[in-house]
Amino acid sequence: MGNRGRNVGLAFHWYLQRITAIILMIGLFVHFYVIHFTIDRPITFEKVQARLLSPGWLIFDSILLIAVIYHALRGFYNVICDYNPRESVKKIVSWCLTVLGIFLIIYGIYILIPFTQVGGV
Amino acid sequence: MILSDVIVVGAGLAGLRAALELNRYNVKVAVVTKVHPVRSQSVAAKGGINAALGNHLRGKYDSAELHAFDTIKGSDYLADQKAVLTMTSQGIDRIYELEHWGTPFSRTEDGRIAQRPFGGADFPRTCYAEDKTGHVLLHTLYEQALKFEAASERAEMKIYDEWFVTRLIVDKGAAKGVVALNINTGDLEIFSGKAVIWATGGSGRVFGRTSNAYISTGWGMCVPFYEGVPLKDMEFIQFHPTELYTNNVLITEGARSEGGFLLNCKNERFLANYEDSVKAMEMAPRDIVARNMQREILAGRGIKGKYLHLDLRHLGKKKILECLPNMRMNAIHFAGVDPIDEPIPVIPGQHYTMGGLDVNIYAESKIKGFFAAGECACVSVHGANRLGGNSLLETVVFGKIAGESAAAYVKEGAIDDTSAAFLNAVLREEDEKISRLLASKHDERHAAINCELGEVMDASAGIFREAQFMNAALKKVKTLKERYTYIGSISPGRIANFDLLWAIQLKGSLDLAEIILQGALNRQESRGAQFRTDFPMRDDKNWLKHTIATLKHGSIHLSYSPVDLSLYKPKKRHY
Amino acid sequence: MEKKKTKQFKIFRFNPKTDKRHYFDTFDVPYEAGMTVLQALNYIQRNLDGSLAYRSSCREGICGSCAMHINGKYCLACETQVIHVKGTVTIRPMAHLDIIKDLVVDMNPFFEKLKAIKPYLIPGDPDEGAERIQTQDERAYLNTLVDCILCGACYASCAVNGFDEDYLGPAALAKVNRFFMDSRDKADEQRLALVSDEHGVFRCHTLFNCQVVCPKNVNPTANIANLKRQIIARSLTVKFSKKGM
Repeated sequence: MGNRGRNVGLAFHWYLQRITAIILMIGLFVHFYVIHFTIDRPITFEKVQARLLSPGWLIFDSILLIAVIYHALRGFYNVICDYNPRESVKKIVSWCLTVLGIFLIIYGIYILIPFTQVGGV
Repeated sequence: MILSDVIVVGAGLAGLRAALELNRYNVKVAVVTKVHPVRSQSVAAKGGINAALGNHLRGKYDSAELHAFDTIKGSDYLADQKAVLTMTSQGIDRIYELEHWGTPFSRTEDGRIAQRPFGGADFPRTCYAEDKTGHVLLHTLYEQALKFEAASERAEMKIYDEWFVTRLIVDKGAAKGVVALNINTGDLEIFSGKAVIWATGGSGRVFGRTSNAYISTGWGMCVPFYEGVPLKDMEFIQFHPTELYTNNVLITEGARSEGGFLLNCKNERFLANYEDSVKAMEMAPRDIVARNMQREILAGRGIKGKYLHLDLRHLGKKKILECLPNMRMNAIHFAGVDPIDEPIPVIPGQHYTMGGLDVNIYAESKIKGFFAAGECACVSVHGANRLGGNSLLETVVFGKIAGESAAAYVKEGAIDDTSAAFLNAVLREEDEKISRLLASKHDERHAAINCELGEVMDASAGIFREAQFMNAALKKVKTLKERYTYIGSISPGRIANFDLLWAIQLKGSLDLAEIILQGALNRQESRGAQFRTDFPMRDDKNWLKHTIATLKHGSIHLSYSPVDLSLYKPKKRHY
Repeated sequence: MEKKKTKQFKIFRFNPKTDKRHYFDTFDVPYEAGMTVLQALNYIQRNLDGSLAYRSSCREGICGSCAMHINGKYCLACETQVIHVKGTVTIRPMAHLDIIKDLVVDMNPFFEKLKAIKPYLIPGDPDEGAERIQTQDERAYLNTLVDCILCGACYASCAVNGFDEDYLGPAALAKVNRFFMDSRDKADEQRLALVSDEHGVFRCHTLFNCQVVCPKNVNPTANIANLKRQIIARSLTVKFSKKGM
């Protein structure tokens, strides 16, 4: 049966997965509404920039970005775990996904930043 | 060969309790059982377990002595009185012990173990957990067994489940172990020890209409009987008043103690019309209620002439759901009737074997190193009629006593002097027996014989018994035994061969049937659960004695032994 | 005499000693209202094919011997009425457990997991004298929790048990909650630690299969959810009432 014992990390990730799910549920709805119903077509760079000039929207989008990436990658990791890989495989996958996640978050925020400077890219 | 100090056969309440006691004394114990422990018949016990705790408002002045008196009166004075007092006085500690081990008893308003009134008892002293008392008790003992099994590093306590015992090994007048068949692999093995505790339960399946599980075939009682342990008082069979008309699933006595009414086709509480149940009504002891129900049906006042109604509707939905949820589900599943809206169709049916392997107050038998406890044993604390709630008490009290006695016997230097050659010869003999049975080309099927046996026992050894019918039945049982010798066309192979197991066990059922009929025929009186229409009175002068059945040269021989009457004088029973 | 109606039974057969592959046998069983699937199996075993292997004991839904897969759902054969089953009755053994013969499966992995979770009361105070006090409300939390009959239907129905053989499974996890919720049990931390690893409560995908099949309405899913909640609450050092369940 192997050793059983407390695994705080597991509980933490499980909990975070639920929290990000709630963020996604609300955040995606807002995101969808704002993009599709509040901005007149066509969507132009200026219109997007105008919105992102307010720090509130910048924070909102960043949080949404982090939530999406965490939730997706953690979900992917859980799927892998369901196939009972060896401990070493799990470790490698876990590291790869962490690196990928951090990279995507940094890259996403890196893309968001230029919008915030008047005059633009 | 599997070696242990003590072999416990059967893992119901009595077997597990004995094993836990042995473990406490640091005696190595192997528990051998033909079904997984929680599948034992004990799990189906419902109403409760008696002890004079005095937790009920009306039970303040209850005591072990009063409990003993009720039990003795209930037994129609055939119980051994000191044994009863032992049970009732030790019972209190056993209940507390079970609670400490985690049994989830129902509770009173001040948080103590809840107690309900039961038939034949002057005070409410039946501790319960809804209507699943046997279930929670057995699971608690199983949990404790797992705890100690996990802690035992060298199999000091180990449960061997799904091992079917085929023989008790007796060498030089002392029990030395058992031969058992691993049901799932088909391997035959010897369990060798210095003592054996027997706890295999009852024998309801000798009858056709019974509340007992399929596994209660009576084989367990017969295995030691074949090796010289006498059977006591086997003619006393309890018929429970309320079993479902459809398939004899038990409707707990708790249903009546919570206030249920028994009604005939005219919707009247007919128990008031009978002298012996006029005061206590539904709360009279089981033998009396069952007999009066049967009289009512025979008089043509049954519903459709066949069954009676147990009406709980006036209790209300809340009480039924709170106190009798399991009973309600059984009525829905097996009779299609929801007791909240409709009365339940019930009839009396076989429920309990008061008799059993003859043991004394220390659970010792005639054979050295052989102990028995629970329904398969007869101390006797139930005499001619058991009170509801006393059987569970008997299992835990005498389970513990059997464990103590066996531990003392082992520690006092019982030596394991049985030679390997002897054991191997026994093993070979058993193996050949099974091979012969499997190879038999005859075409008599066990199912046919079993079915006929059930019918004849229901018809002649039921609530009302009469010499002429029993004589005919005895003849019939003898022809069935003759037919049994031609049993064959058993499915081949040994892996999980249930066909083989049923065929072997049928032999036990047949032999018990003969002992029951012999005993009932000989006892020319009516006492407790035995009612002779040709001898309707109790006869203390001639028959206040135990029936002892032994095997002599292959045939059954009856003798009698005195009853311990040291505490109370026999009186007429009225409730 | 009136001729009885018959029902077709299609039963999974496999004897590891003689068969390379499993197969199905069909039997026609005469039936009437009130006959259960278990009684039909008895009829087949006694009269049609003695080699059919299945477990049975109490025949009243309390011993847990006869859980099997009957027409798409795990249930107790003894509690299933033949007239309630539409069309042919197809019976398979429980999944995720090795087959010993026909409908008899090796329940050892199931019980091993039960053993792994310390399935017994761990009281804080020494037991002396009379019973411990437990209020009716405290006892009421245990009402369905103590009804588990260890039949294994939940275990067989749980998909997670199918791919993770170390997953404790619904029955064992529900048993943890049974003791956790018991006011007399004083081993909360120990119990939660036992189930908070990757083969414990967090492996549960909340599929509700166990809840659907449980013949005693124990609802293991809710029990597992309660354990998860307690673990999270404790790691956040939030005091979370047990009553929450």
